[in-house]
Amino acid sequence: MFDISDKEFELLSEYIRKNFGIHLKKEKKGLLIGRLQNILIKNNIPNFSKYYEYLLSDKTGEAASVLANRITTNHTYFMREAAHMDYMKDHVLPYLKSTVEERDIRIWSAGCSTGEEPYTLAMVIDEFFGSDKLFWDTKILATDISDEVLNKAKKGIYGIEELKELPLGWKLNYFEPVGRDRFEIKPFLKDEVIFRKFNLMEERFFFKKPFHVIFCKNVMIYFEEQTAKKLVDKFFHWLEPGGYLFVGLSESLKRASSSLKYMEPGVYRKE
Amino acid sequence: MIMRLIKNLKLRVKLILTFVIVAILMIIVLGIGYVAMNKTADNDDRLYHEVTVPLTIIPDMLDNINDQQQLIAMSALADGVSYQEVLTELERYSLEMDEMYAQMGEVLTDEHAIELWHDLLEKYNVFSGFKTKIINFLKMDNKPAVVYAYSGAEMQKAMEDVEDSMEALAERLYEMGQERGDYNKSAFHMWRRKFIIVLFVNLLIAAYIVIVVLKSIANPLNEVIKAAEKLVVGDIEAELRWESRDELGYLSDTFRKIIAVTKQQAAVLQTLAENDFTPDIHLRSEKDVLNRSLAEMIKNSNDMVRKIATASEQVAVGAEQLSAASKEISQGAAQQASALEQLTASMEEISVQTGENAENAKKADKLAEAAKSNADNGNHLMQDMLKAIEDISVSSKNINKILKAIDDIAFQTNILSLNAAVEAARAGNYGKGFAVVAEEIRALAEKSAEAAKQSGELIENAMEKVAHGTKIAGETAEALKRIVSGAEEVASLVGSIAAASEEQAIGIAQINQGISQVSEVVQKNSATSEEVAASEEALRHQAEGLKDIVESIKFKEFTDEKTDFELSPEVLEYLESIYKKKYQTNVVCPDEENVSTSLVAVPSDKEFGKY
Repeated sequence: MFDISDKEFELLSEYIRKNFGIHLKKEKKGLLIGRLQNILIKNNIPNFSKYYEYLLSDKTGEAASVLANRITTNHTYFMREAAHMDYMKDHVLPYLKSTVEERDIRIWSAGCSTGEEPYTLAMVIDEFFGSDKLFWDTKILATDISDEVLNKAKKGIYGIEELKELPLGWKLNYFEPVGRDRFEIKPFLKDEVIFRKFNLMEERFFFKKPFHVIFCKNVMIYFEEQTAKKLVDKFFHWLEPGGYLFVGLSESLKRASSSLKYMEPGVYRKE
Repeated sequence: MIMRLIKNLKLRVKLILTFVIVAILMIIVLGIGYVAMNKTADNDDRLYHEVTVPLTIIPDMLDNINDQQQLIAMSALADGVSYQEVLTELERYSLEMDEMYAQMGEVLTDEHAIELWHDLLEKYNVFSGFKTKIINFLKMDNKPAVVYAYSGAEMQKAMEDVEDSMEALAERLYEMGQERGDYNKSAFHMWRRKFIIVLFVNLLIAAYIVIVVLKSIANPLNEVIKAAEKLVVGDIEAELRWESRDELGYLSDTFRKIIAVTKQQAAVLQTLAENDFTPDIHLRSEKDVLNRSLAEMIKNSNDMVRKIATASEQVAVGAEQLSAASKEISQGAAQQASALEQLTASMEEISVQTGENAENAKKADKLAEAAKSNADNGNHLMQDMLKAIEDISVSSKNINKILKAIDDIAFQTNILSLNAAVEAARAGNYGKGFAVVAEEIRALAEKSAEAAKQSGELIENAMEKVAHGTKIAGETAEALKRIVSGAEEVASLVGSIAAASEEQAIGIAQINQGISQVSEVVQKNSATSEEVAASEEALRHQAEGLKDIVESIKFKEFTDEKTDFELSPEVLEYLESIYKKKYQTNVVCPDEENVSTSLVAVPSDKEFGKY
């Protein structure tokens, strides 16, 4: 077990906050040690000061990437916060279907983790459009900062436990068994999701067009208020008028300071 | 057969036996050699005794006979010869001759030679007869008789016969010598052959026995050595086929046991290697250190695996609890957030309403003022109304008088009509029309009386109402007065309402701030719960991995030892703290520092498809 001094913790948490937005308070010392000690052991680094030096000296970005992989919390499952999926199906998609021109719906899953959220979205969309889906481009952009989770998301292989929230029909339609108790997303559904590495801390976003829907659930809970607010402003900027921003059910945007309209828990709209 | 016999002999016996056999064989060879040499020596001896000795005797005999002849001749021919001396000499020669004969008779074995010897003896006896005669002559000193006898043909012939006989014997002896020599030679050759054959055969036998014995020793030893070498390099597939009842058989048996035991141990180890910790170990003896250690190891492994299994189960259960807890927390957070949203919305409404309240209070103030002046006004009008009501009352009383008059007139009219009817009846047919008129008049009178009565009632009613109205008007006036004072009170209350609304607005702002702080805490809790969930996931993966490992290990389910395994207090404490976390109400102080705008360490991808 490694120990971390206040100074080391300060340096590292500042680095993490600056680069990944994740705010680690003093109480998270244990978490930081727990998540990073394997890197130290693996790279034969004696203490966190040396690790910090290594982090700064590594110009390949590898060290930072590994740190991002380790320090991000990737907790997700299929049909998480099903209320939002229902909201998509009942309100957002009908609205988009009737208003979006050029049959190009742009949905961004920001902080997609291991892919359960964008895949669930893709399933909701697929079911909603049914045979009309042919005439629509509803490819979802799914981004995360961690290569590790992106690789898992791209593989699209999940354990049977992870699928338990999904209705049986979806399991049959969108998965095929691979090996014992392992299921893989069918290729056609995989094609519906574009996985990319994206750091939400980028100073400027550079998308071609604004989005109709942005999912950024349980990401900003790790951010400081200022960071979160800045990000929400960017989301606002990158939303089409009438577009929706979904955050986690436990999250709430500062209504007074936000230009987004509150619809229901975790759902905001640009008017 | 021999092999088996040899095989089953004890090593010592085997070696001794081998030595004995080889020794016997050697003795046989030596014996043969000895016999052969003896035979040869015998033959030589016989050659010597049967041939050489008689042959050497024959010249002596010849010399003897010649000497006797010469002596006789000398005694016959020479003068001065003392016959005494001759006699002694002859006696001596005769004795010598007899000795030689006897000697010859002793050594002669050949029949022919013996015949010849007998013949010689006969001839010699003939000669001896002559000799005796001569000796007698000598004794008588009858020299001429001696000469005669000596030179007599018979004497000469006897002498020649003796010599011939001797020669014949010698010849025979030569012949015999030749024969014996040949015989000896062939006997020697035969013995030499025999010796060589026996030597060779014995060598072969000895070699065979030695080889067999050596083999019976070397083979099992080699097998044991090979097996031992295999064992040394860890190859337990060593095979030992040697079986016998000697020490080497015992050695092989023992070694086979070693191999078998090693195989058993290897099998046990293999089983262990295959993660099966169930094999039973039986101690071979009190001093079976290896199996004791093995048994101990298995027991310890079982205990360990069981503990690990229990621990992994507990960890899995703990993880499940963590998962449930984190889910609960996250659900709680969601509910809290949603409640906060509602609270915020409500607070917004309240805020708006408070603003409206303040506005309304101001309006109400104005309205109260207006109400007060209106009430004043009403009071004045009420006085006028009371006067008017009084007037109405007076007028009503007058109307009542008039009605009484009308009622009287109607009564009179009725009576008149009755009279008219009576008169009309008297008038008979002529009065009929009048009767009708009288009836009409009576009806009218009745109607008038009725109308008057009703009017009177109405007037009465009106009078009552007027009285009532008067009362009410008084009360109203009173009420209006109260309204005025009430309106004054309302105005003051509204003023305080307006002030309270302002205070409320401030309070609401504070509540909103509080809500946003609580909301922040909720979000942080949510983050923590996710972190817990992620840790739980990792924990569960580890636990599952551990479970898989443990499941791949077969182990004995119990020992007599108590193996209860509890989670460490720290872990339990942690789990508890996870449960408690959802009640955490720390207020987060947002960091005021702005987010740096430096380039991020993990850059994003550059290409986003349609995005």
